[in-house]
Amino acid sequence: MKKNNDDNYIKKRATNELLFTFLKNYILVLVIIGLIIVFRILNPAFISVSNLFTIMTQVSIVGLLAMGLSIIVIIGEFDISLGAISNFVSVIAIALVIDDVQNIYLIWTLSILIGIILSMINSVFVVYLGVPSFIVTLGMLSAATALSRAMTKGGITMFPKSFPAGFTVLGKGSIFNVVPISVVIFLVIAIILLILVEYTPFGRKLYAVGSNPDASNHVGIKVKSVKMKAFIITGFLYGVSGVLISSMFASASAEVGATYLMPAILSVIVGETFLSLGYANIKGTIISAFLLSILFNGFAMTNIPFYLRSIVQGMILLFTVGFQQIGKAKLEISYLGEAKNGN
Amino acid sequence: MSIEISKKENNFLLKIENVSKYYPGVVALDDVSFKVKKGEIHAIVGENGAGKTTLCNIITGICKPDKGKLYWKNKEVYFALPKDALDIGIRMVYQERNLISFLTGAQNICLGNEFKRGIITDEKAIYKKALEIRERLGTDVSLNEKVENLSPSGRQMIEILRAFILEPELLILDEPTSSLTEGNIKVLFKVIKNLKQEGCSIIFISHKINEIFAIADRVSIFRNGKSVHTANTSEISRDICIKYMINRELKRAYPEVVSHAKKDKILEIKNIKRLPVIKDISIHVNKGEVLGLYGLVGSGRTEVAEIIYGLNKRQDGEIIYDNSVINNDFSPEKAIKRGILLIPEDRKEHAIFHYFDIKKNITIPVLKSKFSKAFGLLKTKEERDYAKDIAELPSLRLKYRSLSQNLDELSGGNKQKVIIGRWIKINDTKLVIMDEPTQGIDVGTKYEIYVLAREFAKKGVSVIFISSELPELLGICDRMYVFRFGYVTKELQRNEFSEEEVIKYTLA
Amino acid sequence: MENNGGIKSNNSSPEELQRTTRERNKVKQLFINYGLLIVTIIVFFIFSFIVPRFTNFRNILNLLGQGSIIGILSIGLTNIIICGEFDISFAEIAGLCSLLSVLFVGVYHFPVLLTYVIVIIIGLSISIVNGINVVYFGIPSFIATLGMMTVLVGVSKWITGGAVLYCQLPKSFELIGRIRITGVIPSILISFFIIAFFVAVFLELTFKGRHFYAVGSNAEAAKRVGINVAKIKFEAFIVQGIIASIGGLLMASLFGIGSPDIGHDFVFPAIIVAFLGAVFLREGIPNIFGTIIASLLFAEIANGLIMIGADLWIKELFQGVILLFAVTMVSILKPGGIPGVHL
Repeated sequence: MKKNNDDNYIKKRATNELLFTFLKNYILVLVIIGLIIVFRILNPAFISVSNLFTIMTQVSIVGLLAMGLSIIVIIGEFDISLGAISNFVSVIAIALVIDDVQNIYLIWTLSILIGIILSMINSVFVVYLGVPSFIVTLGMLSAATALSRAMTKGGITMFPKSFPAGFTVLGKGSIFNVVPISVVIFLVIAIILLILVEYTPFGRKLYAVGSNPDASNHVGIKVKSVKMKAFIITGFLYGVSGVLISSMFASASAEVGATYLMPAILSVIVGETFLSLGYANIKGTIISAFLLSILFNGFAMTNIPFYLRSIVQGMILLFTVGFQQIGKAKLEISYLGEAKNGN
Repeated sequence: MSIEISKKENNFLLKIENVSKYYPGVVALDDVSFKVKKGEIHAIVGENGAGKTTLCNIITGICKPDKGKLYWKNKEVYFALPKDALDIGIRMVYQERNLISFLTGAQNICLGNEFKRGIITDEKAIYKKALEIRERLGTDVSLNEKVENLSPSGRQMIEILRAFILEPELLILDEPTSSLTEGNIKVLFKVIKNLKQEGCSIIFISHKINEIFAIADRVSIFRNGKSVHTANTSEISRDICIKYMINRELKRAYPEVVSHAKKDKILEIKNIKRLPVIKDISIHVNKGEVLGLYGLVGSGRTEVAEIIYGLNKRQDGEIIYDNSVINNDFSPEKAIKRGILLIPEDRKEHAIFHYFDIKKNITIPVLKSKFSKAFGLLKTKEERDYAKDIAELPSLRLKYRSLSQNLDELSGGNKQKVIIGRWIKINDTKLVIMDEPTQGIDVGTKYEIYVLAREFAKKGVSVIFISSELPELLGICDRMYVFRFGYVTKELQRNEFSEEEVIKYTLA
Repeated sequence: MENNGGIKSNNSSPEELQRTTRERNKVKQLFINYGLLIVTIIVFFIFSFIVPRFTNFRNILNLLGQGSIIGILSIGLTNIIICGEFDISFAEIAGLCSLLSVLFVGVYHFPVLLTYVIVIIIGLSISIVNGINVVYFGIPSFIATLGMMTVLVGVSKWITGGAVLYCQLPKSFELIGRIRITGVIPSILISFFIIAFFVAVFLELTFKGRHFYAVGSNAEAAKRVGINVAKIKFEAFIVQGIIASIGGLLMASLFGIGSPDIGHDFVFPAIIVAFLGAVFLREGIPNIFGTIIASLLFAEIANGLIMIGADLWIKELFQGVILLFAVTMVSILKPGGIPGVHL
């Protein structure tokens, strides 16, 4: 049988493009290295074990939220309510403490359950009623924030006077007095999620549903069921991060969650550049969460003026994503205003 | 006697009784009854809109019938989800691609049925299974490459392989050869014959009558949502088949060809290259001729058209149009100004504006040139009149309700007519490129399109007619090029036209 | 087993069933097309019932004035969405422009008209950068404008050092936004109507506006009918920039202060309004009329809730709930997507 190579035309790459491809694939890692170097120069204390753990503690919360968002983006939806939901979860947890509930496991379970329930409400609207997820989660954002505000009586931070035994351990405790428990929780969940999403058939279904729902339907994948499960997993992640927030800050306010929204979104978007994949993925999200935490920590450690922080953040986003586009087909606007097509 | 009848009835693997399916404004299936025997190759033919795809969507559980019942092995069945149909052994290869582009061929083959080691996806087992299927079928499409890097033939092959992930009892193939290379077509036909011997039933949907008669045992002809006739292929002739499809004698499937071709060239293309598809193409187009470009999907015809029209750049070679050299900064805007028009192959993706009604779809290319006054404001009355004139053109015979209708409400043929209407009154047209203009269109409208093409030629306008349907090219073209894998393998004048010749140069 | 898909089957002929289906759909269509208007009117009556002062003429004008800023910003955003792109930085551009205008007139005592010109040029330039990022570099518009927004937040903070500018502003500054013509009609309402009028005329009655729609509807098809897609998208950003700058000038005129945070408050409302307008009035096609009515609805709700004396959080909750309800109704009637937002 004649060898028929016409079924495959494999895009060949010249050797000098290999280096460029490497740069594109690992731009995130390079930026992280660059940031570490710059911050180290500006403040030698940046590189220390205790600072590393401070960074990791930040990564814990942002990372959990960002991973949740990643899953939603992978299935082709969006969730802008992540901060609001996890904030509400933290409010519930602290409210239970204030109400003198002593069983911490009960508190944590109930709180996480709230997170799952809110996310499931999102999914009912998105999956079964067909409402665009951007709008649904925007509505949930308003609703959850409003609820948080109501329970904190207009946004006043709730400081419980006493905590049941073990409550603050999650957020403030450490193993061997060195490794923060929150980091351990994050790492454990991150590894499980990584395996689940990237290496199991269920994870493949997530990607399939997000990439081509019709094709998924045709091969027998239950699209609605998969999406529902994705929202449930995400709800769990929001719940855990909410519990961590309540534990870490030993208080609850209505505003904390909102501060995590941008970093989470940025983590997912910038994470897409990992390995030049161009789509949301767990590894990239985790690395980006790390990058952002390094960035924010470095800002604080080196006393960079606050206005510069936003600017640098925006620039990094534009740079990492823009870098991916170099070498792809570009549309040029010539002097005469006509489009050219280069390749 | 009743025992004999029940034996005969028990021979049917799948029975569809009195099934109807309605969509807004359309009766897709009208009281259809259809039976497939165990181990038979049953073809379904019919024009687009006849109900073939809807029938198969119901059989595979994609949609549910509004009336009627399905029987599988004499037991009534109801498919709530596609998975139900898949589980009992019904597999289908669809007309449109259903692949996840960033996964490999092997991963796509096993999509939804991945092998696990514990809970982890077992990529090795997936590859092994895909390899096993590939060996069984006897093809050599790459399994490790992301399907987005495969040719259209490769992608269709992957989907065919996917059907065998679980042993099928009923395999439905919807236009399976539309993108396949000749070699893969042979592979497919061999596979089909083997399946039949193993007792698997096959439903083969195609508009290529020759293929049907080459491979099928029985054929059912659909028309307007009804199954109008079923017969053994040994007992029916092609002509009768066509007659059932279109319900009238088509003594002349094609209009009379009177040559209006001149000696001078309107377009000349020398050695153009655009990898990976176009390797080295040289063709020319004479004034007033209908020039056919024949070849399979991926052979380079559409790509050449896109280069002529300025949509893509060539990497090498020369183009001379109307006696002047065309630079590589050509664009569709410039092309239109210089009298080149394109009717794209993919209506949905490349031609239809869903935000616009019929009127706006017709007038969109000439808004600036014909209907603007000061500050860019539109002359609304002139625009409406223009669209009305075109919609009422006798040569177009557009079937529509009102100019403010959305295009989605029209049939495929009428959609195409609107697209053609968009270009039909542009002044100073010199070259019209029609890319698969009759795809998905009923026979009556096809004839009207052929007449339009010949009318263009009569007016001195050249037509490049791209098609994968050899009969229509042989029917209406003055001259033809045969494309194959990015090269032109043959040029034929009308007096040299013959099916065997062309096929020979498609394979060679 | 009879499965009729919701259509009553009493042995009617296929033709009759077709006809009833078509008639049923016409009613649905009407409901969808005018649903937003219906909801707006219903809400108006509800509030006028609850709060008698609601229908007071002065109050109505107040209401309209408040909705005008959101309306103007939404109009600019609608432009971009019509072309199939997205812009999350528009509110920030407006905010920066408002800040700069107060700065130039109030602190540096530039002539008002000159300031207007300079500020519009600045806003335009920022939008042009967005356009270059999206069209030339090929960065997805959501990401590109997200990055720009982050940068602008930093720039705003930089300019004011985080503080809000309070200064003496000349009377002429208040002309376009703050004063009341004939003592009754807010000038901002007039400004809004003027802008809305011009944009509506542009989009609906010029060939360029039609080209905008064509590019958003099917960019590939637009290319093939000779439209320069890159140029159109770029021009959309230019129009957006001008509108956002003017919106900023109006904000400055209306509020009379230069605040670096002001953009933030308008982002979500304007997005909601722009999308609501699209989802409703023309079955998913973005359009100016829908935007105008949606901003009216939004202003109604905000104003009505204030009059009821509801706490801030109730207002947010209500917003979220009404939004969800309204969009769900439409989605049940007609499932479909919304242009623009892809991660």
